[in-house]
Amino acid sequence: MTDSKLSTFDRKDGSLVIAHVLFAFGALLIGGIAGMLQGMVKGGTITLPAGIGYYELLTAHGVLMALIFTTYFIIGFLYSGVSKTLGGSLLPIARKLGWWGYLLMSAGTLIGVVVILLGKASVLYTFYAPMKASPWFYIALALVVIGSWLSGYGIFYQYRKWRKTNNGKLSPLFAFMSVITMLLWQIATIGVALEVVVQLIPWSFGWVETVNVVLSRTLFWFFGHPLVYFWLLPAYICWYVVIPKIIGGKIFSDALARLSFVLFLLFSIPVGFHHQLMEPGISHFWKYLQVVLTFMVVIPSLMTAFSLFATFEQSGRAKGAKGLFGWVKFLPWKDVRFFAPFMGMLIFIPAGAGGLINASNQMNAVVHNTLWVTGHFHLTVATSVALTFFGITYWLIPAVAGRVLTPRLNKLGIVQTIIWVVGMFIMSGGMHIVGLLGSPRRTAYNTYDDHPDAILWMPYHVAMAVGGIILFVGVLLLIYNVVALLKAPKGETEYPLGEVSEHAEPTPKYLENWKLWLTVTVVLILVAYTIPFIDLIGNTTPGSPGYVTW
Amino acid sequence: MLAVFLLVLGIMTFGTGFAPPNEHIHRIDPTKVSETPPFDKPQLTKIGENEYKAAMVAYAFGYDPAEQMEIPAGATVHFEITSSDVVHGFQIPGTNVNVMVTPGEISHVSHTFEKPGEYLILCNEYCGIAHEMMKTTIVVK
Amino acid sequence: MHEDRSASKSHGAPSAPEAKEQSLKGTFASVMLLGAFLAATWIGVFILFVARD
Repeated sequence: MTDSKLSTFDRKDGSLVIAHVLFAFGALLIGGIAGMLQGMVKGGTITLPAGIGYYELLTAHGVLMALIFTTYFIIGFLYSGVSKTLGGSLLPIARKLGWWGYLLMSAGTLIGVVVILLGKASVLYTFYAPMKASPWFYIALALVVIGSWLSGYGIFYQYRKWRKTNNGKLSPLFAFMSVITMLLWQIATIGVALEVVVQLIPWSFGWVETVNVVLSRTLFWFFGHPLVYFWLLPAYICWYVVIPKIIGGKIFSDALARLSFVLFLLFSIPVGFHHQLMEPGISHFWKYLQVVLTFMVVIPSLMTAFSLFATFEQSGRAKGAKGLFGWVKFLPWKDVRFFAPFMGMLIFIPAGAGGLINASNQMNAVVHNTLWVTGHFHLTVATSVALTFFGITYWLIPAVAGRVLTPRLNKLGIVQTIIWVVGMFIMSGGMHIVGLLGSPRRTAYNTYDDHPDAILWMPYHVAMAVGGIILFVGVLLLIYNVVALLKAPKGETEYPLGEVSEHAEPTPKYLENWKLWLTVTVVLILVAYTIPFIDLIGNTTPGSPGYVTW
Repeated sequence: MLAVFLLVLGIMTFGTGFAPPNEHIHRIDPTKVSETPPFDKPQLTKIGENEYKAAMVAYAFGYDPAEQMEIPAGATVHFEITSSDVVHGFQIPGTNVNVMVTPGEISHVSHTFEKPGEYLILCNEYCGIAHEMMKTTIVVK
Repeated sequence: MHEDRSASKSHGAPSAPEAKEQSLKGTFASVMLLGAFLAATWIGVFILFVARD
């Protein structure tokens, strides 16, 4: 079905999208303040006033950035594309589910932030047992997760109705990818839901004395790895579906794009052990098996890189580009809707390289729990994904709110992107190097009694603080831009959706065979986790009581 | 991509020498650490020509034994560590010693200290308010 | 409909009349560079790992 390019975005749906986007940026702002302060503390430039702990700030920073900013933006963005491509507006039930999800998540977020700032949950966003937070912290998290499930059901509902009324035709690419993303999320969150509801809440309330620590960690990382793909896949949706339109080109291959997303569904989940490589309690064999599966999930990202290069090159050559890299000049560098996501793509190269290293079994010992890891995820989620989301915002808000992106705002967007990249280069660059030198992550200011190793780290910590301040300036400019977009001149903005290239192979129907792919997904999870879980659950050694060590 | 795979597979084949730590799963009651040998008396013990065993306990916020551990250069130490409270880390910067210390489990990692010096052992897993101060050292003469 | 179901063409190999539009030499070069970067960083840390043992 073709929507007229300039058909107005449904107003009611627009409100839902804007609500999510604004909440996301609100979380980014508060999380950003925390982050900047942390950097300055580690760099030795400030000490925090009494009543604010470093680890409280760190918990808030992690939760707001990695869980709230991301989830809200993603759901808002996905709903916008589902509304646009699956009929031009959301069905009433889908929209209701969207709002109920929003309500529950927001209730959870507010409770969580309050509990954290009251100092009752300085357990960081991974909340590892047996550190025991207030039960309200876990309840808050549960509300956020359950809310997100409702949001997912809204998308599934709209999709299923569309498929029924369109006789099982191949779905629009954006919608297909959105369904994969929310399916991935639905399955992944089972792990953390079990951990929080079955293990942690009863234990935190005191109804149960002890908790099985390794089991809780394993359930968390069952969730924690696919979480990063939940972040990444919406960025990929932009790269696959939106960017070709913005550069005046075509989608290189619909089939390859769908295949990559299917591979993400299959291989993002049965890999949690690569976050537990240095832990006791899990055998070598299972760690290695999950490392092999982890390397499999690298493949769809490599496919994506190929597809993007090919899209750019095809589009450039169609406009007359010559030579090996002539097509680079034909890309719209001055358009923030391209430039910001492109910088995200570029930075995904070192980001992914770092990830490959992290997952490499025993090599993980070089980087585990050092600032290298922090450097890595500030490239992946805080740059590749974040810059893509920022880039999306510059057309999304105008498109759904009936405004236009002015040349001035476009320019400010480019500036904001550059500030971000510079700040991140300094901060994350410093983190990678000092991590290799051994400096630990999640650690407040220290010199370990002036140990020579620790003294060596200080200049890098200072660089990190400088980078963090620059990034915060970037956050402020972004917030300004977002507010300005909401007040921009009225007009029609196109929702950019790419068309598939004429040269592309037709897409095989089996790529949309949900029964098949869900079965394979479940089988892989069972293979990777059944025996380790049986071993962990059958453990007769007593569990651990709770501790409040802060 | 396959080349990448093969590289890692290659590593695993000589993995018996270079495997991730904690080969052997070894459990303990986390509330009875101070009563369970060898953690009832955390200490460094010589077990061979240039070989030592170090039974250690991680706690918020330090490591037992509190007494300074000293070994000659070239010695191999087999660390055996558990936690009496929350999850901690055990990392020696500049080496590949980097393991998690989880209550209910015992961590095993070994290292040969070729060069003399005072090596920092620090906790790299957030464990509470004084996490950044949690450390000890081992002196290699 | 977004998708065209025109006769399929293989993505990589340039064929005579369509060669201009279909050339993916730049893509190939880019992918090779990417692979080299991944290999170089991985090997770098691998060397560090082996050296520290």
